[in-house]
Amino acid sequence: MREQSVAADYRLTHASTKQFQMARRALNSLQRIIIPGESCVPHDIDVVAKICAHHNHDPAALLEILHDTQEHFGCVSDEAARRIAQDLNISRADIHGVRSFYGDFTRDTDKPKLKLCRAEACQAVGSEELARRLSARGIASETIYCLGNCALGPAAMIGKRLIGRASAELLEAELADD
Amino acid sequence: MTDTPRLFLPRDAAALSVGADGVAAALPQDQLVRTGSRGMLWLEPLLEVDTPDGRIGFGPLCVTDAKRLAETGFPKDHATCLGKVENLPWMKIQRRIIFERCGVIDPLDLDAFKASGGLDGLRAALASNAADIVETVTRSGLRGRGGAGFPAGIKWKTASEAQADQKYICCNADEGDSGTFADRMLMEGDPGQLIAGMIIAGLAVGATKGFIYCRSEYPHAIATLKAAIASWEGRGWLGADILGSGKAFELEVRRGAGSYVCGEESAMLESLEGKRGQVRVKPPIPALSGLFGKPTIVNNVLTLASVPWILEHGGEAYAEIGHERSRGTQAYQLAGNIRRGGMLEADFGISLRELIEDFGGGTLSGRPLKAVQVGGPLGAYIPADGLDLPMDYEAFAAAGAMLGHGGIVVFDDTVDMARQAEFAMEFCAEESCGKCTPCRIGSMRGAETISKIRDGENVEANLELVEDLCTIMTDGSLCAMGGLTPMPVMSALRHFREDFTSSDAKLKDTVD
Ligand SMILES: Cc1cc2nc3c(=O)[nH]c(=O)nc-3n(C[C@H](O)[C@H](O)[C@H](O)COP(=O)(O)O)c2cc1C
Ligand code: SF4
Ligand code: FES
Repeated sequence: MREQSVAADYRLTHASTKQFQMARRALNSLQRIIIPGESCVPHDIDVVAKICAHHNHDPAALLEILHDTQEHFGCVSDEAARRIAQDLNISRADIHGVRSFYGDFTRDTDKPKLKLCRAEACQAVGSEELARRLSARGIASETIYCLGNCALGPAAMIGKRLIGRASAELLEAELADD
Repeated sequence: MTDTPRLFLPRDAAALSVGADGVAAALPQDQLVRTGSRGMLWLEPLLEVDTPDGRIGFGPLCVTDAKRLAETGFPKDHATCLGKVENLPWMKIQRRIIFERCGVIDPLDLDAFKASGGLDGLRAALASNAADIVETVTRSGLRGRGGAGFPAGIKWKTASEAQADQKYICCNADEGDSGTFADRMLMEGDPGQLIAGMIIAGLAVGATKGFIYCRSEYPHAIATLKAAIASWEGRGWLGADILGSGKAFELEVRRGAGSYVCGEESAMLESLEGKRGQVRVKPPIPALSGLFGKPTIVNNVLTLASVPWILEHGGEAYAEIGHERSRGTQAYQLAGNIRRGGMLEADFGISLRELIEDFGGGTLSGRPLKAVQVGGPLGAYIPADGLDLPMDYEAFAAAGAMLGHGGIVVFDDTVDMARQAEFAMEFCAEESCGKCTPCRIGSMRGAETISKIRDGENVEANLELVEDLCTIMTDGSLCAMGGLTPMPVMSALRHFREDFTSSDAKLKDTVD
């Protein structure tokens, strides 16, 4: 199983950030050992080449390139990473380093649709309880620290849609609409 | 009122998050102007109706109310009618320098921007020279709004005197602090103010290229910025020949990617170079060697957006506003468990109590207030009896706290402060860039140790260990991520020790 889905599963049963982090760390190190190097999403690799060209093959625009790739395919696969490395004339290790540093990028297409803010201002209006309720309903969410909607928390995001004063019922309905 | 008054409704992300688009669809489209938000977020979606004696507010609106209002001609006796928006207490106390147009005009309507004086500061800068711009900003006493409060003039002077073939202006729009959203509101509500500020910074230091590093959690802001930049270029307000002056400035938006530490200026520069967001060792300072090794100004959104006003009205006029050594206005953001949450721009020096009680109306839950965290996740927790603190950099520092980016997060009495301290350590462990040991390892050990304390394990000895760890992190960290994480931890410990030692605290949150 992939890191993200395992982590999501883990989160379903353990709503605590701390335990989640520890699990994620353990999984991160596991992943390096037991998961073979290739992620397996089918790609139209020409799209990756076009994205690189759109950003003038500029290595400084790597984050933009990774964003566009992630948005298009739902991940930055190893195959895509290889193509980006080739087109930008940088090493695959560099791309891997950047991809793994930033939370927005994943190696496989298993990011939950729902982002849930778990930072302080949302904690103050019950984001932790909300996370537990979502887990109980079997809804996976990605932990985000602040969505800039701190006066109308708990805040959540589905795609690019920001949701304020979120409740489990509301989020469930929004996910069904999506 | 005419039969078809103009209607103003925000398209700010916060307003959208509580249904502004649904309300918009229920209103007559040909009368509707979408604006930024006034900052009264508890009233969103807040509709404003143009009348001969000013704009009348209705809010918070639901779709049904909006339909009804449109059918009946927006009667002032409707339950949601707030009267004249400018007369609301929240608006009256404000002095809007940065947010003058935010919530008033369509953020992408360049004619409205120009008609309301949006270009005046930039024109003044174009008519002046680099040294005079730097001098004006220095005289204004403007300090960085990103957190540290460093004088902008000094930074600009350093960069302007550096010799280089290329210099850069980088706007820090990473706004990662929980409880803050003023940067977002400005970028969505009046991007022109920021663009003008960045061009002026470019003129002052001799930079012809700028980047706005905006966090990816702000898709609305990114879209608005990109659209604004394109229309500024189309008008010749930005590009090779700004307003026909022969001066050039190019501007690009770059997305962050979900890393808090990339708000730290040198990590942000690494990120802008397409690398991992690892903090750089200083010196050299970015003003001398920043992006791609070139002299670079890094300033927060609100720092740069203050500049057009300063150029238009002069440094002295700005310096007359404020409190002690904190000059000008600050964007106060009321968040968390607060009845009336939102943003208000007012002079420095207003007290925390006034903000929370008079403007915020106390807690949302109606329960007693227990703690307030000011300045984001690295800021101190202030207890209920410590609220008589003026909002001013030095006053906060003297109280062992930090003003930061102006975020004020309110908690009621259900909060477990030991859990908050634990979270502060966990957050640091999660977001640390990993460059130095006190931060990378210290935060992990800190989280583990506080967890033990919460379980009632060796409480006194472990508390001592936490204090030790905090000292090491404060003294030995390369940047403020590790260096300031002890602030929320130690303030929680200092003011709410009983939450760490009572068995109650242990039982309270057993799920964690
Ligand atoms: C961990 C960390 C996160 C930071 N995040 C931000 C941020 O999101 N926005 C910002 O403007 N400054 C942030 N800063 C402060 C910047 O390093 C820098 O001081 C600031 O951008 C300078 O601009 P100013 O002088 O206009 O405030 C952060 C600092 C640290 C240590
Ligand atoms: S204090 Fe933390 S975030 Fe800052 S440089 Fe050290 S490891 Fe990186
Ligand atoms: S803390 Fe949740 S949106 Fe800012």
